[in-house]
Amino acid sequence: MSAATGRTPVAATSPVKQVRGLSRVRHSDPDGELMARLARGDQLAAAGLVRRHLPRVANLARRMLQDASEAEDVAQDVFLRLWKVAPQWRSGEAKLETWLHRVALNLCYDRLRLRRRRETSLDPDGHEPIDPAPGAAQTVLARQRARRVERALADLPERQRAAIVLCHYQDCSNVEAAAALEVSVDALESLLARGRRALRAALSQEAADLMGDADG
Amino acid sequence: MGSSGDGLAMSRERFRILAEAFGSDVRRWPGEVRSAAARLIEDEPDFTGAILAREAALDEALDAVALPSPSADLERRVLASAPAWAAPASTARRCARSAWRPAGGLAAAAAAGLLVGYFGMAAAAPASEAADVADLAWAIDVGDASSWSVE
Repeated sequence: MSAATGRTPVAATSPVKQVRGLSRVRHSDPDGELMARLARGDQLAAAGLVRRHLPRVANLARRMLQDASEAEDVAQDVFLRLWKVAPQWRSGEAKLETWLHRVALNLCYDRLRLRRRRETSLDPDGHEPIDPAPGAAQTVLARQRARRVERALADLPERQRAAIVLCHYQDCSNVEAAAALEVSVDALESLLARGRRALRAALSQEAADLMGDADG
Repeated sequence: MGSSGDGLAMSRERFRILAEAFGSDVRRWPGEVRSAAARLIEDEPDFTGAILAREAALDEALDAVALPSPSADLERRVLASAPAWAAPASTARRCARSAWRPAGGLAAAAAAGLLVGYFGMAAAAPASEAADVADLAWAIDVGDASSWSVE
């Protein structure tokens, strides 16, 4: 029960809770104007928000799930939720990008949990690899290296992976990433350090194994 | 876990911890420690250089995983899912409010035909969506109408 309202807090994955939770801190949000226009029924504002945020939301989901189709479903779902909360959005009280990241991560966690429950969690050799950007001139070695890194990322605990994806790939600040993960900045730092340490160990071991194979 | 503000010297240990968390590019480090880190890099290039080189190797490995842009089809589908709010925001909010109230409100909104998108979404959505709809109802009920305004 919330002492302030006397009501039971809403579920952790709720966008509404996220709007309300984030509203404790005032933010200067570059998306405030677009959200205001969207709430007034401006379709062009919806298009602007999609152009601005869809690539990052889709990339976040893809890096978390390593499955293009599931990532697209998550991206769609994130925007469905955005359309729903738009009329109540209070500009300046929550940063839209942080909210989008948080919702996307929670949807990814749900799917990862479902995978585990179905006992079809990421098979190192079975999950769909992230394809390189079209036209990118990648050598076979570079592709192999990317696959190894993907595998190592997939093997990380979810929250460590999310911390690395937010800070390294999404270029979030420590404050933004911590808000998206709903942890303190110190906890974020710990997640990042543990995740990177585990990645380094996994990649070093794999490199050693490969060298061993080559020697043998 | 302490932080080194710009006015304070950074210890070697703190530098190592930050590098292990945020990587080799000091521009990615928390803003409040960057100046102190830059000073330590200048003062102790061998120590800091060895740490940053190790982290740079990992950063480079991470950068090896490139992503294609989302498909145009995804953008089209997401845009198609945007609600067709032809009415001004105040009307939309009024209708939304009535929709989340018990039966009478639902019937009125459905009759107005303004929440077809919402219903479609709720029907097609996963189970967790139901909780969101409930949360939305809760938020609207407890909120004063003026609090929905986007100033």
